[in-house]
Amino acid sequence: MTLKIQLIFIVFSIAIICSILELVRRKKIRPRYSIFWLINATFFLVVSIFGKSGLLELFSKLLGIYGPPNTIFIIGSCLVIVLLIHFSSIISLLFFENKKLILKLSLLCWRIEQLEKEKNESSGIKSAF
Amino acid sequence: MSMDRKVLTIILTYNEEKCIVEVIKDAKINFPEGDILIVDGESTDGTVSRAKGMAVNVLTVPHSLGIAGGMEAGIMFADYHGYDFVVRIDGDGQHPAGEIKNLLPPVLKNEADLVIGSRFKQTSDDYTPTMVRSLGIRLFSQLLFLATGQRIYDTTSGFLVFNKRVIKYLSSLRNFEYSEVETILILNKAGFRILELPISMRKRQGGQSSFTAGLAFFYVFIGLMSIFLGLMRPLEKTGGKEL
Repeated sequence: MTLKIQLIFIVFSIAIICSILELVRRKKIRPRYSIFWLINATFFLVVSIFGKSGLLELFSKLLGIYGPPNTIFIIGSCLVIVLLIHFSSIISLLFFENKKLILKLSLLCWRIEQLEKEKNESSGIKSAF
Repeated sequence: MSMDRKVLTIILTYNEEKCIVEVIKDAKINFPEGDILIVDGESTDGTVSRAKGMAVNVLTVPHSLGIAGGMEAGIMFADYHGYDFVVRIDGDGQHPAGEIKNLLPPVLKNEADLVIGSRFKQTSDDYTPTMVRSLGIRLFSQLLFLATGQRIYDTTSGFLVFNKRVIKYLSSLRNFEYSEVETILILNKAGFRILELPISMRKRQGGQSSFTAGLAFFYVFIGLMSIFLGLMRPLEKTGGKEL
């Protein structure tokens, strides 16, 4: 792995870490969702930094990959997949909470209708609808 | 203490059926000027029924939103009904209502916007945290000092008193997620006056803390992150809309 590509990987992962931190600072991303990003980006950074050691070459040979930079790309892709799965679970949770809200709302509307009916009946006014 | 202004006493509860009646009685006797609002995180025990039996308002907030949700609901309630001041205490009996009259005057006299009732400015017999917690608390305190320039010892105290300016400001924020540390950071950056006064707290009067070890660690981590980010670049002093 050349120094050039290693530097690119390192700069890339640092850029991601800084972007995520800035987005959290500006409240565009909840801190708890940023944790996963930071763990993944840091892992990627560490792998990039140690890319020059023999470990990466060894790992590439084991997996049958020709060039060590390719291994890092693959690791990066796996991290992205893990992140996407994480987001799928967050979205699912949001769906369930949203559904509960909607159902509660339906019940609330029904209760208001009942209250309006009772109020109109007791005051003897015919409903306008 | 005669009051011509409205005070809302927010009591946050989750499964506190053992002591909720005592807490409400304590609030009614020792701080009758406050309208009591119980904000319950969907308790699975008799907390809500016992509270309703004491003729106080009860607001139910989904458990998944936690203390943050409860507090934000209470603030929304206070804003909607035009309350001038909010007093917040926890439903586990750790916050004696008698201490409210020690925290309220600075806000009443408009010398402070937020008053924090602190466990750590003076030693209190009933509350002694463990070594690890003390270190964590001192760490938070030191970091918060670096980020805000203000010395606060009890950064996670739930015993708070604040005024309408704070109510309006917090209600106006778009991306706000309540936590004690976050609130101190934000209010400090926005120019509000924060005061910390010593009070004595009791031990939890029954029931269990909903904070597991894992959850506590998680919130500490999130809190540290907020403080570090607050250190990174000072948040712009804003009027209140954009953060």
